Amino acid sequence: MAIRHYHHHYHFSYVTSKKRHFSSALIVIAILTIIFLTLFRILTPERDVNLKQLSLITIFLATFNTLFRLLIAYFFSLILAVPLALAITKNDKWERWLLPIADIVQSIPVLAFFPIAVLAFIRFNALEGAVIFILFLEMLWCIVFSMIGGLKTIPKDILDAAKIFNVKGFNKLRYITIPAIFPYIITGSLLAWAAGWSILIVAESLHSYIPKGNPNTDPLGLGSLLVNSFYQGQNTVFLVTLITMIIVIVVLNFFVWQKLLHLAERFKFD
Amino acid sequence: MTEIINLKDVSKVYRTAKVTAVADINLSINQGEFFCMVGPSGCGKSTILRLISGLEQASIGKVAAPQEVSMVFQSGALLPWMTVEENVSLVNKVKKISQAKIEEQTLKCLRLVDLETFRFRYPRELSGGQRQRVGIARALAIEPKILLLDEPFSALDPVTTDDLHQYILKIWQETKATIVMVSHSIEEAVFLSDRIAIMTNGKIQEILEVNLKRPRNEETKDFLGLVDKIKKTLES
Repeated sequence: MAIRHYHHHYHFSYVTSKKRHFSSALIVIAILTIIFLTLFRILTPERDVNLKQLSLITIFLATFNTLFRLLIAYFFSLILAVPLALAITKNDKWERWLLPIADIVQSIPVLAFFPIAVLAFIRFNALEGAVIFILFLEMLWCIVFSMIGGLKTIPKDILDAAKIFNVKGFNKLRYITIPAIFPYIITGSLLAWAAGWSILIVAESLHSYIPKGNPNTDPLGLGSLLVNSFYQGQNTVFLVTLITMIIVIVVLNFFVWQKLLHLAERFKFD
Repeated sequence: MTEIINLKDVSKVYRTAKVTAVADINLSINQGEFFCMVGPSGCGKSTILRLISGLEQASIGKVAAPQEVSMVFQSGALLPWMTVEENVSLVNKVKKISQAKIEEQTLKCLRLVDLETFRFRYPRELSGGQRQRVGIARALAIEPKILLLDEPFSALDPVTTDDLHQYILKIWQETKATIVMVSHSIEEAVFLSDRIAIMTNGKIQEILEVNLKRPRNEETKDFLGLVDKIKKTLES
């Protein structure tokens, strides 16, 4: 009987712990990546980039810088998108007010905020912040609207079951709402990263918005390398940077997004 | 007989759609009773179930029912990202009870519906009937006083439905819970219930007692006679 009980207990905890270990591993990897990239950036301060003698280290550093900015912007977008989407769809009354407001705000081109953002961040000597802020604004609405779509497709029976079984508050968010909209979070994130990549070139080459700015004041990244090498006629640098960017996007697509999209299938209702 | 559910002069109006779902409902259901409501689509059967469960509030009148109410849904309403065991245990996980007690209760309920060996499967790996049995196990996991069944067998084939009828009767007899079921099938209602409410246009037309011995045979004269009587009441 004791063995039987142990056997049951083992299997019961095994299934849940395997999932928990997987999600814990993802969180640990994400945290370590952020710490690593932050340290990497602190230890290797930006310097004037000589485009005529560009080394692989610079390309590597530019790639990491760009990924770092996208990651930070994505992290903040995701953190803000969850409460925003939940608030907008909280009830009919909130939706009637908040959805049009969100719709208007998201329709304002993100570059309209750019000069203001640059000037504001220059005051605090934090140009990096301006780049991340623009990327964040570009990414945010993709995730928010995708999540709103997801929240509206949760079957009524599921919501009724949550009420009947008293699954509410944080428990509802953890066990029902977030998993139910997981496929939409992934789709939104995919679109957000695509939007991030597309705005990156403008976001990183912000010297034209800075009084007396020059290409060397741009934060080093794949976007700024592309723009500056193009304007300085450094075709090899331009080509290498472009190929690097394509490789990074393809690798991310293959090893991150494809896996996540596949995983999201498990979270879809019939 | 102790009364467990009471609806007094209950009406439910959906103001946005300007629809009166049910009107002037007076209904009393006894503890341990198997009560069924039959009628055409849109006659208000499910609304009464939702009023009893607390999912809806009455516009007029009073609904008295205990808090310990559980429900089995037509779709099963299972979470596809959770295993059978996780689906069933979730309803107790949100309560402040020990993990050991949750596991014990989950396995007990899965045993009741013969799904103990399927506990690590996901809903998508189960048949329609098995999914519905998981829904029943989940509903039982909170040890409800009242079990509400909202057309739980309507999407299933006849063989599976017959199978599930036996499970429901076994569970009813073992748990002594009060069962209130909504069904489109008159035969199903006569086969399972102690009393049947016949509903049309948001009103209860008649409540019939089913004085047939269990196990019931669907081919006996008394059974068929009762089915005919209900059909005639619905047609009239």
